[in-house]
Amino acid sequence: MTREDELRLHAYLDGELGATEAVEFERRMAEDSELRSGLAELRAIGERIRTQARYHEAPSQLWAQVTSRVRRETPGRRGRLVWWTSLVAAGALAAVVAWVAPPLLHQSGQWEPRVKEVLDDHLRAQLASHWIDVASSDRHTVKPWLSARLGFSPSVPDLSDQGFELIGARLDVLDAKPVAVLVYQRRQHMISVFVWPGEPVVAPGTAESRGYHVVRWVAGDLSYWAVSDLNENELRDFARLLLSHP
Amino acid sequence: MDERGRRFEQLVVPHLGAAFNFARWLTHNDHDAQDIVQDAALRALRFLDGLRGEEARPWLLGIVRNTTWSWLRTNRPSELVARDDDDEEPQIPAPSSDEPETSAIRRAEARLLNEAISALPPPLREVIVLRELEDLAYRQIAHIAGIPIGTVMSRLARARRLLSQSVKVIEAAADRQGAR
Repeated sequence: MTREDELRLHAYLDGELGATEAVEFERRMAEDSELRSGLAELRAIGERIRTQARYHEAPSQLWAQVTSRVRRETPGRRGRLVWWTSLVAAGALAAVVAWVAPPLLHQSGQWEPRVKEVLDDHLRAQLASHWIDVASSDRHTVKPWLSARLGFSPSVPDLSDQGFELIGARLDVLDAKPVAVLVYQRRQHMISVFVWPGEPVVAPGTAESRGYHVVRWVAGDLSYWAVSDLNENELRDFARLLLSHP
Repeated sequence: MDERGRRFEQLVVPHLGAAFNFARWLTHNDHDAQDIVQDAALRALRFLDGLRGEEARPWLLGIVRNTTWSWLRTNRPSELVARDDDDEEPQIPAPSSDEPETSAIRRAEARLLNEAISALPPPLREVIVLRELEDLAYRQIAHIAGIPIGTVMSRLARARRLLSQSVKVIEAAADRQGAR
């Protein structure tokens, strides 16, 4: 195989060839078994890396460290008093993060109650086969449906090109507050994404229980918790996609 | 907190996890990666006005990358000795002979794959992490690493070739075990 063809194989697999070039390359591959076996080998190693390479979890105190340093650097226009208040707030936040974040991780063997709640809710939906209150693969239907019923409006991106099909949404109640649950599907795996507003910046994290994974993150003013029996790396990919489609 | 602080929390904070993972893969060390992310976050705050149309994640990763490489230059200069693409291949870790039985083989495979990625020289390791774990486009990786797209392509090809070889070594060992 020539060097150019080798690089083209990688670019093809990575979706970096232009449409015409990709079609042309597919035509050549159909006639060239060496290219085909090269592609199969690359696919295998790519799949392996994506599912087995470790995504290093940041220690939970990192968020508190960064936000408190940033708050010190950006004291606001109201001067010292605010500066002190924000410092105290940052301290309180650090305490909250230290208290909340570690039990989220499964090594500790204990669960933050919220992890159990969202997981139970996901399981209930599964057992009752009641995933959605509004069925639609059209995000322009789901988003207004949610914002008409809740005081906030999560973004509902269309991720079908990336292999995550939007199924619809349901409403649920967590801790006596209504939350939006977006429902996506990847292969046979369902994903529930719980979204609610008004929580401080806390460390993202992942948890695992009985074959289910939970990934949480904060974007803008909204907290997101995604639950699925999908493998952790793919669920994380999904979280990243949602995060990059504000 | 002023307007800039709020903008920072909205745009940058969601990507601190990606920043940490990237720095951790380049330094092999939790503590160093934390220090680097904190420094990079303060730089990001300083340059926040420069973030306009660009996406925040690759933008932050670019800052993390530069912070990490200055750190490596000071603390681990030997790892950054320039290599040409045809230089000697890095050592791929071999599986130890007494791996546990089949049920644990997958876990052992994952561990060895991670060791193989760790063994890649930093210029190859960073393109693999940015492409496979952060799912970034060649153009974005080129921008973050400060190299031409052609170099991204050749480094990615070389890194995958090396990892593919090490996977074959691992699989051969697993097959021998299965046959035993």
